[in-house]
Amino acid sequence: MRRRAIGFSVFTFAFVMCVVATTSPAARADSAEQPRVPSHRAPDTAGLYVDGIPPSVRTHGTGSRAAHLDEGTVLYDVHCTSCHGADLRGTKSGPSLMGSGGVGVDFYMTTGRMPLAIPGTQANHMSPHFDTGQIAALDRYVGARATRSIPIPHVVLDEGRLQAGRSLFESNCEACHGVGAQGATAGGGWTALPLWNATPTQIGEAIRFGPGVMPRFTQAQLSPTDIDALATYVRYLATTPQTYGGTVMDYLGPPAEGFVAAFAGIGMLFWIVYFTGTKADGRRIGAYEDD
Amino acid sequence: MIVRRLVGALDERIGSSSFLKKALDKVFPDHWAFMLGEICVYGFVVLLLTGTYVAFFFNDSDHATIYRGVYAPLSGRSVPASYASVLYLSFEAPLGLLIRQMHHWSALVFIGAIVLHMSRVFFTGAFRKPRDLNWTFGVLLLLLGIGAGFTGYSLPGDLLSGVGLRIAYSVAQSIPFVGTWLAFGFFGGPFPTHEMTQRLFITHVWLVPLLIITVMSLHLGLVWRQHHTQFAGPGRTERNVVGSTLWPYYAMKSIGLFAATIGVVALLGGFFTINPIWMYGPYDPWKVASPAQPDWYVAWLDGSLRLGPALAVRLFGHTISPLFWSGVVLPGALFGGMLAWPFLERKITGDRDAHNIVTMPYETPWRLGLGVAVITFATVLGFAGSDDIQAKLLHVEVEKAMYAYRIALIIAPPVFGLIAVAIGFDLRARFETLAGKRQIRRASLTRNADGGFDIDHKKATPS
Ligand code: HEC
Ligand code: HEC
Repeated sequence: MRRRAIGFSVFTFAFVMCVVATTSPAARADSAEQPRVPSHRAPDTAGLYVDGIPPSVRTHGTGSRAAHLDEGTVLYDVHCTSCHGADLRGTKSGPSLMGSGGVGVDFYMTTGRMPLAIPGTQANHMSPHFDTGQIAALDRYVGARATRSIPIPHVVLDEGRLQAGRSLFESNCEACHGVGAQGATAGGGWTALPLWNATPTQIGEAIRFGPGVMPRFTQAQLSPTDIDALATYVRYLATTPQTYGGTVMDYLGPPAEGFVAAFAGIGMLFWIVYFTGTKADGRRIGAYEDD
Repeated sequence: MIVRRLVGALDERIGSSSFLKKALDKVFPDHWAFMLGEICVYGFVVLLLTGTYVAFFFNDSDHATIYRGVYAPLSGRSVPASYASVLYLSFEAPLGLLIRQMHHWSALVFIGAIVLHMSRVFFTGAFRKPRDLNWTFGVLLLLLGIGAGFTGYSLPGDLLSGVGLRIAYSVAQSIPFVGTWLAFGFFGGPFPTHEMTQRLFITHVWLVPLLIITVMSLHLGLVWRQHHTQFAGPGRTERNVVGSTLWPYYAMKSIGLFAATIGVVALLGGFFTINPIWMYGPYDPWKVASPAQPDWYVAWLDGSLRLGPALAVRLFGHTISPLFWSGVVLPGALFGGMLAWPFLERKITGDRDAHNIVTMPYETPWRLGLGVAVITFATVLGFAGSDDIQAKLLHVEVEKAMYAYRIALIIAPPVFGLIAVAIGFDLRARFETLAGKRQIRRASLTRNADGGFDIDHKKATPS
């Protein structure tokens, strides 16, 4: 009989869904392996940085210092003068680099922000356009002329400081970069980028330099150990998806949940109601006077 | 059949059979649209069941404790006891996270189903006399549902809900003259207080559910007493219901729908993270989570606060905060309008009769337009509540997005409303000619140039 068949299929459907749900990530959350701080898997091996000079530069550094300066001059003239000016004091198309020695150039070059791809837009994190030796050369070129050079921080990941990093992240970074470091709007047309691509050194550099509208944090505000802790937590977020309860939908929160509720939840139930709604006997007449 | 035997057995003992027999034979109309309300009922039942389990583990104290659970990034942190208990529920209690997520998802589905069901009732005119009273109960249920949701997600003491509570506190404060008293009265002092979670908890697990159960019983009792409406059709009159009986047809369907509701909610709870409080961290008044949005059924209020003008008026030496207009006046007007609509419509149309046959939405184009306009208005507000997320995803400035929404809020409702009115009139005209054609028994036809036939309406005899 048709109605039996429908009732049976709805029940089977519901039962299967319940069974499936018990195998879901959320159901297994209590026995799930709990987060451990991952070893840092990004290409950059921060620990090997010595005094801010990447290993490749050190091996590369067999040539004379003058050769590097020359390389820097050439690179700067070719790729940067048009926007930052020959005297580094900036033009209409780019700001002055007088405060960008050290951290500034290294951060903007290793994150591939410079040379700026699309003028008039916010520089995005990309793979770097130059190799580490060229970046070091440029950094020396700018560093020799700039009035301020912030040394490149030496960042060490430290699993023991995960909790401290989490707490510092909540107080200093979460409001702009989002709870999962997934990136969020920072106002004025700026996007606080996702931090999942940043290496530990770049995280330290961003904290010290303050790119765009991001504040610049001094030693007094965040100590070197604080930066280690922050980098540890940010790398943890980047490498350990927090999917204990199923997909996290990019940490978009209630708006994304609303869409899932509307399209998956209400959508499925609507379909079931529509499917079973009109299939019945349909021939009985109940007069109001009957009861 | 077993059920009939059971009814007989009961009758021999308590003499209830005439009612039960009648109940089993009660006829319900066959149309899928009449079953939307049932999703609400079952959503609520799932809420009660999962809520009971969740409450076993919840600690309603705001006092600080040191978190010593398994979630590593928060281990050793000083957090409110309520927050720690929800972390325990999520990571250590058996099936805790699944049930907790099912509880939250069923709340979203529950209120979504209420909105769908109300739209159906509105667009088909089922709210008209004699069911205007029941429409009022329905609006109350929506309000209570939103209240249940808000008090519920504010319980875990996390950063996101703390921000929401702070806003709610300020909105309450913005009510002229009584606001400060109201806010202090509910929260027990200046925000944030130590009683906050206790009071929210008892509101959430006792006061609001009790009210919902009461109003829902009245609502369903009236449906039973006044019968279901039905669409017009052969054999259907204002004094009968044509369809199928409660037993076995509707009982089976209904139980199936209950099972399906549990199933769907279980799927969502199992595979989609909802409200990951371990990401938000414990509430601290000087911090803010980002992005920060309320659940969807409160999103329109958030949007209203975001779009509302910064209009601070001075009245009798008091400043009326801008929050008052978008946080109190606007929702008040919306819900007031919803409550008053059956009575307003009676005034406007002069139709004071009772109606048991409902109409298709296109049969009343102006009502259709009004409903579409109001839904558009609320939807624009709801989307404006997450303007910052859209700004990031679409790479536009959030300020520009806000201005775009302000314009849309004024333009979109009348435009969509009028389009709906036009579609309504068009459909109504088409169906009338269709119906007209069907009623023609004998007509004289003229062959036209295309080889088709034209009806000479003057000579036609209607049935
Ligand atoms: C197309 C124009 C353009 C080119 C070419 C360009 N830049 Fe930039 N640069 C900009 C703009 C615009 C900014 C500021 C935007 C921002 O912070 O995102 C900037 C910012 C910087 C900053 C940060 C300055 C500060 O104080 O905020 C550094 C460092 C930098 N550029 C280095 C370089 C170097 C080195 C090169 C050459 C390899 C280069 N730029 C090429 C346009 C350019
Ligand atoms: C006021 C908002 C704001 C705060 C607070 C803030 N940031 Fe940022 N952050 C930004 C913005 C905006 C950018 C993008 C700047 C750009 O692209 O020029 C950024 C970029 C970064 C980047 C570079 C990302 C990449 O992949 O290129 C890192 C790393 C970073 N921030 C880390 C942090 C950390 C760690 C903190 C907390 C100590 C923090 N930020 C606090 C706004 C903020």
